Amino acid sequence: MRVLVVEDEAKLAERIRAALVEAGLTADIAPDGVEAQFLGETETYDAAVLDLGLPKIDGLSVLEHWRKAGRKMPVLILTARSRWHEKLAGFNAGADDYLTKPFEMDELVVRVKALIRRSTGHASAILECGPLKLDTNAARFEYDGQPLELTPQEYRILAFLMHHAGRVVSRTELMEHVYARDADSDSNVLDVLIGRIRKKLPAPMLTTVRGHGFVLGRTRETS
Amino acid sequence: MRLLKSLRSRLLVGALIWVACASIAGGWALSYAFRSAAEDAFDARLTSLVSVLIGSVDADRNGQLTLARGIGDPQFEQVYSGWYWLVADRAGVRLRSRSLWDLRLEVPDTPVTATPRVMTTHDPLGREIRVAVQTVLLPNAASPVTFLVSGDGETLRSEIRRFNVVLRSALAALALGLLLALLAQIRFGLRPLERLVHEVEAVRTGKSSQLSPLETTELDALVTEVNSLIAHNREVVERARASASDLAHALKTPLAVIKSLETDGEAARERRQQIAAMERIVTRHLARASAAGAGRHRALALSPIVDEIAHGLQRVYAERDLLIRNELAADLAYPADQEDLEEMLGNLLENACKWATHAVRVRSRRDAGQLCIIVEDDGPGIPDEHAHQAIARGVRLDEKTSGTGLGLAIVTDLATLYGGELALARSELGGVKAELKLPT
Repeated sequence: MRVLVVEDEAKLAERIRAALVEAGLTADIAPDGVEAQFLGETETYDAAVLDLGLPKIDGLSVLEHWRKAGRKMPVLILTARSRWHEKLAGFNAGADDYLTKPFEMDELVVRVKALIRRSTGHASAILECGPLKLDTNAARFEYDGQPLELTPQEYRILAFLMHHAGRVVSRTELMEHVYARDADSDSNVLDVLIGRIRKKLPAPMLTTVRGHGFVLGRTRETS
Repeated sequence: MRLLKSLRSRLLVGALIWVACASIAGGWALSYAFRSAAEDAFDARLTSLVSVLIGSVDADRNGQLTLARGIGDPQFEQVYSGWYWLVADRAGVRLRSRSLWDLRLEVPDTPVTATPRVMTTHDPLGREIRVAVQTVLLPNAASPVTFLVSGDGETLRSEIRRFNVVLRSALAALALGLLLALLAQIRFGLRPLERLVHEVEAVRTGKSSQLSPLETTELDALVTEVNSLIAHNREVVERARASASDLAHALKTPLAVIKSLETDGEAARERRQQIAAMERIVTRHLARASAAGAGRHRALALSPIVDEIAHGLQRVYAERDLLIRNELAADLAYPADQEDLEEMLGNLLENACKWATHAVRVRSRRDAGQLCIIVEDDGPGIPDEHAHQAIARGVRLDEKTSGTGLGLAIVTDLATLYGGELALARSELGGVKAELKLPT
């Protein structure tokens, strides 16, 4: 799950990224409106945290631009502007949630996760796929009630597959959503990681669809 | 002087003074002129009567004086009329009018002159008389003969009195007329000032944004000045509001950074509390600074605003499967600043959504002189003793549901600006019933 953090205050942006990574997500930082607009349009994100008071291009314009360009990822607006007038403007521009500064970091993480879950069609914080269970808030996998020990990288891959359980996820898609933009992503590493996850899962529920990608659980008719 | 504090009474007192002065001076001058003219005419009449008398009297060869013709005026026949004549020489009174009867007039000693001398004296009865005396030399007369004619002074005085009465009433009528005209003029003249007062009042109460020209040259300069003053004031207020808002917003990001740096521990918790207090202060004052408040506003339909807010909140609380029921009539409208309405309704709805289990309901009621907007939820509700606190201090009732009380405090602040209030009670749905009462 890859999140774009748009925040011009470097310290705060770094804190947010750290909190998101700690929660098992991947995050990129865009320090201004121009970069935010560019990244949101060219990269694939599962959610965005968007500050409204941005240098160069303001946050609302960035958001409108994304929506116009067909970008549908859920957006959490992070703003110092706490008046309802501004919140409504945010919603009208296509925001899905808002948080006013100063905020609790935990709350931000919970909200971002909730947005991602909702956008992938999950209502509850607990995702299930057969005996495999993911508590998104606690960032923990369980198999038949037994906790699954995963490295952060493994967790990120399995969590993404879990969100899209039953659907074939392509190799590129997986790489895009799991690695930060500047990370050194190598397709071979992905295969190694998939292999390790398979070994940790008691049942063979992660299958490779040759030429297409991977699928967790039983294949649903393409959605 | 309290009297002179009113422009109208100032003008009126001034007018009174000059009208009184003019009337008195004019009356005195007219009266004086009339008196002189009347006296001159009276004297002229007496003088001419003396001439007539002189012409009527002959002296015969013995020096005996005889009256050839009488003086026609019947007043000389009336006893003690004050109109007397007599003819005297050294030896004494020779001829006299009937009116003198038994009276003895003192004949002043006068030298021979070409014209009569006129003076005022009294007859033996005490009556004031005006006397014309001339001493002439008559042919055949042994000594110079003195002719005296007197007229009743009362005649002259009553004539002057009558004139003065007429003069006084005429002047009084004139003064009264002038004052009335002046009153009307002051009223008419000061009417633009009254309009100016209304104009300024309209600006103060927000019915208009500036003074409209009065079409009065002297006052329109003032109107222009006041208008630029209003514009300047508005600009200053706007600037102050903008900088208050900028300051508050600028503070929030550093606060967020500090907050994100805090970890666990006793000291950290204390700091977090202080940060939370700062946050509340900043947010509440920001809300106050941004509020437009009561004034001249278009009536805005409330239902679409509630819909828009509900739409946003439903996205935020998508997981909770909340039902926000907007039961406001489509044509329900209230004159207020759009942002203020959004702020009040938004905070009420947000608060309700935070606490609700499944349902939030918005409805309205019209009470005498006020519109009551009711926002209810089916949540756990708040104990009565906390309800007051929630409104009064903007405290958080539950640290997990952040900023709850703060939103209500902001609503209270805004409602107060509009002369309304916010009341919390228990809802029949089970949760909190917030009643926003706004005067209509």
